[in-house]
Amino acid sequence: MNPFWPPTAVCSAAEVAAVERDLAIDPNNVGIGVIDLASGQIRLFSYDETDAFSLAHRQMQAAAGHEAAAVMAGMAMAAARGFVLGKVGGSWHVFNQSHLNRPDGQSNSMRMAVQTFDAIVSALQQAGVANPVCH
Amino acid sequence: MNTTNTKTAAVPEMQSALWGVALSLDAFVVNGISLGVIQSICFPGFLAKVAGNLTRDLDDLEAHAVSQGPAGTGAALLKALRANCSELVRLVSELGEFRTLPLPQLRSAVNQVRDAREECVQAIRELEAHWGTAEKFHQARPAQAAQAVNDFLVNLEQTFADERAAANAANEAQPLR
Repeated sequence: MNPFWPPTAVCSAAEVAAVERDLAIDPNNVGIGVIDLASGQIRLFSYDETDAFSLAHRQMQAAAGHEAAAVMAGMAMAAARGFVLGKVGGSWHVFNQSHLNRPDGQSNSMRMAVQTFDAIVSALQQAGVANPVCH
Repeated sequence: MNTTNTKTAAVPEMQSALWGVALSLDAFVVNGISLGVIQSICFPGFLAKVAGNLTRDLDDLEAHAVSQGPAGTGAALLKALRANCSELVRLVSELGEFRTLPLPQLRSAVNQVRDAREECVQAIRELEAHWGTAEKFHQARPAQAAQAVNDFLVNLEQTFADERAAANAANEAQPLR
């Protein structure tokens, strides 16, 4: 059993709106999401934000993507799981996919535990991600 | 005085530029494959974006090298690093056909990607040795981050197999028209 379990997953509507703005500016950008399993806190960044952080703080050695997002959010990597948020043709898509998810031991090692992903999707919906298509 | 030692203590800016390439390389491999290849239907331009980031950081490294030392210092190693990165980008791009590639070809393609990434890492190490950088990227890298990237590469073949199976199952679930 996963030693971490978010009591409630929480996501900021402002971060959803910020990612939505960034994706509208650059359709090749994607939303990078991480959840802290210890607290249930979700943090969202655009990929370009994580790339800028990685470049500006090279001494921290956090590669762009979920790795940098966890560092930006102040999350311990062992307690961080990742997902991806995209907007395709006006519809939100949420992907249970990150190389940080391997400790959950799912048959597809890129996926986090289903319960955690379900909690994330619910929190995203409350924060303004309407009718997401989940992958 | 030893005049045969060609190593020069790299200035911090050069180490930083080299670390930028090393980070961009890991970001390209992990995000380029998981989003730019596996999710290419949803994110068709993402692979080119992360490949562009890697090129940007190679350009930055070469600019630093030119500005810091006499022409030719490490030039051959820099050229090799860029060639290795270009080959890696080409091989990852070819993985875009993973849904239809015969399994033996897919295995071979995945192995080639792993080998190409290792050659890029080796080229970075050779530049660090040549320039005498104070800290070596792959020795200083946080263990969990390094492990996560290595695990991703080790499991790449299985990841593609899982994604193929999921895609095939979705296709079979489509109603016949």
